[in-house]
Amino acid sequence: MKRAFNFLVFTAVVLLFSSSVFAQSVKIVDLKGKVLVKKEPSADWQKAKVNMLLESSAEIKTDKKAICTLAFDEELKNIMTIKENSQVKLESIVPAQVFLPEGRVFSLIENLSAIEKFEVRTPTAIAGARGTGFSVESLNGQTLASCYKDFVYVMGLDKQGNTGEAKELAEKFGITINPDGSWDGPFGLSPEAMKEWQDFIGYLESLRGDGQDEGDSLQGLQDESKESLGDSLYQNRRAEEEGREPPGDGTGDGL
Amino acid sequence: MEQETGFDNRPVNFIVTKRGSTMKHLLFSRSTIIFAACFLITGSAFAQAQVREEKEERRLQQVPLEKKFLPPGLTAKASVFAGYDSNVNLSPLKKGDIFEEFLFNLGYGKRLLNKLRFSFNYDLDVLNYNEITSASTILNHLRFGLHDKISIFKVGAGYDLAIVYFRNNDDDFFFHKGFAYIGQDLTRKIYHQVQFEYGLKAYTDQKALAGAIATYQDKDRVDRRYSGIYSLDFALTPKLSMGFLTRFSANESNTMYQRFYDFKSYQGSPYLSYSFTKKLQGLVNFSYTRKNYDKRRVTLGTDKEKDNFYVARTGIRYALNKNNSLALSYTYRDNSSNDDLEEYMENVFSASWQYKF
Repeated sequence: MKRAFNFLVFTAVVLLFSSSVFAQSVKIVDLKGKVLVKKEPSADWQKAKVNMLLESSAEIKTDKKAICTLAFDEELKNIMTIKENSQVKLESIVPAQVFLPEGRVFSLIENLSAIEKFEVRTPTAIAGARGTGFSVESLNGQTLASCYKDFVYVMGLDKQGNTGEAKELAEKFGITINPDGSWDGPFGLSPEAMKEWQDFIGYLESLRGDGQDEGDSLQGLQDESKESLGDSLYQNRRAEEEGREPPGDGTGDGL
Repeated sequence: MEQETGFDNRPVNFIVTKRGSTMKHLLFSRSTIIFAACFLITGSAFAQAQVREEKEERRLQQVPLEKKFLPPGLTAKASVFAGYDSNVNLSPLKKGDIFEEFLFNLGYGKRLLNKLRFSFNYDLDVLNYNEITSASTILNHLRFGLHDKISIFKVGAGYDLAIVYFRNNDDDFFFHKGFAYIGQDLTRKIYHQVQFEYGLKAYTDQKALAGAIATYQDKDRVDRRYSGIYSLDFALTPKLSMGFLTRFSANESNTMYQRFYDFKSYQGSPYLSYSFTKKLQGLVNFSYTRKNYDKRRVTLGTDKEKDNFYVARTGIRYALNKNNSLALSYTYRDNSSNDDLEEYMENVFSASWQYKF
């Protein structure tokens, strides 16, 4: 009894420990092209690898035509894809805070409670998830925040880094924050921008394995086909074997 | 011009969106996405293989990535197989043959609403035996499903159709199946699921047996299959996963003679999958099925027929790169029955090449 209790305690501790380890790190779940990571400020840049775990203060840099997708949970509910020519710093994992001095990120946050908060900061603005889907782009001090699903809150930053009033950006709208802190928009997102979002969702579905066959149904059918042939040939063999016996009355013997 | 309002309810012209598009084009060229299928950490025993893989990766990264990808949510792969089957007809009198096989799989997934997802799968399997051509088949398989997550449960239902065509005999059939399942993540690494299936297997050229073994009714044979499946999957480590599946099935056929194809079966099937390196994966699968016929008696005997059916499968797959992989597999089948005419054993060896589009 005591041994069983110890085992349960041990298992619980292991489970708690393993989940908390993930909670304080993000995982690279997909890569394309040249992606470099700096695991901590004093470390050298190194080549990123799929399944690499990154902790807070890690930096990621994508080259031309490169992308890097990070998962904040194992179920791939909270995902951020860093597009080409971007640089990102993970300021904090829980709550999730990302600094984007240059480049573009797409985020799908479907389980916000797991990471408490999800914010992307650029030199001129902060955009955070209230709902699920948005992108942030930072280029030459200008920030473009686009909301594809639910709501995003956006705050401008002055030169001292002080935040302004938070405003909610509705689904299918974008806004530009200029280097001087002025705002342009909001404006409706173009069909091309929405298509990009749909492509991103399709990409995530493929990462999650959606669209794959459910279970081993094909293998089962191949076996079924094989067994059907076997059954049929068995019936023939049996007919030959029983044909040597005197014929029955035609009503069958097992009805 | 169409107008909408933003967060502050001011009218907004769509023409403004061109700003976003311009910015987008600066940074975001035609998006091309690689579907990576990699596994964690390689073992020390495979250090040399690892070094070779890393060299290959470096080489691949120097190649410009101009590959055109399938539309989002769509996956496709094609495989060709060649092999040897030691007992094609599953008969006590073994007769082997060489075979070739072509397999094409298409998968499509799309999210409809929130967590509601639609999936579609199509498979084409063309199997050709060189001498025993009566066993050559063409299998077309379609599967549609709707999947959702309600609270902590994953639920889904769908329809599955298989059309099996035998090139040189009359065993062709349509197998319609409806399925529904409910599953749950017990922990992050353990998932279990219960599934129910109802199937209708309609033979197109095979008449149902009448009152004797060689007499037939004036209608085609139809089997109804009821199944309940419980599966448990463990993703133990990124390299190791295993699972266990149990299945109960009842088959009811419209044959009269000894209700020849009516049976109840119980299946237990464990599997183990292990990634030796991120390119080399091994799989072992074993299944035992007990089949009890309701009324069928053994040939020229009075005992009810009972079969013990064993299948063991093992194989390795090596990924040459992100698109191409090679595999070797071996399958052993053994039916141990109290009817001598149903006893058989079979070995199937195959080598295959798979291309992921």
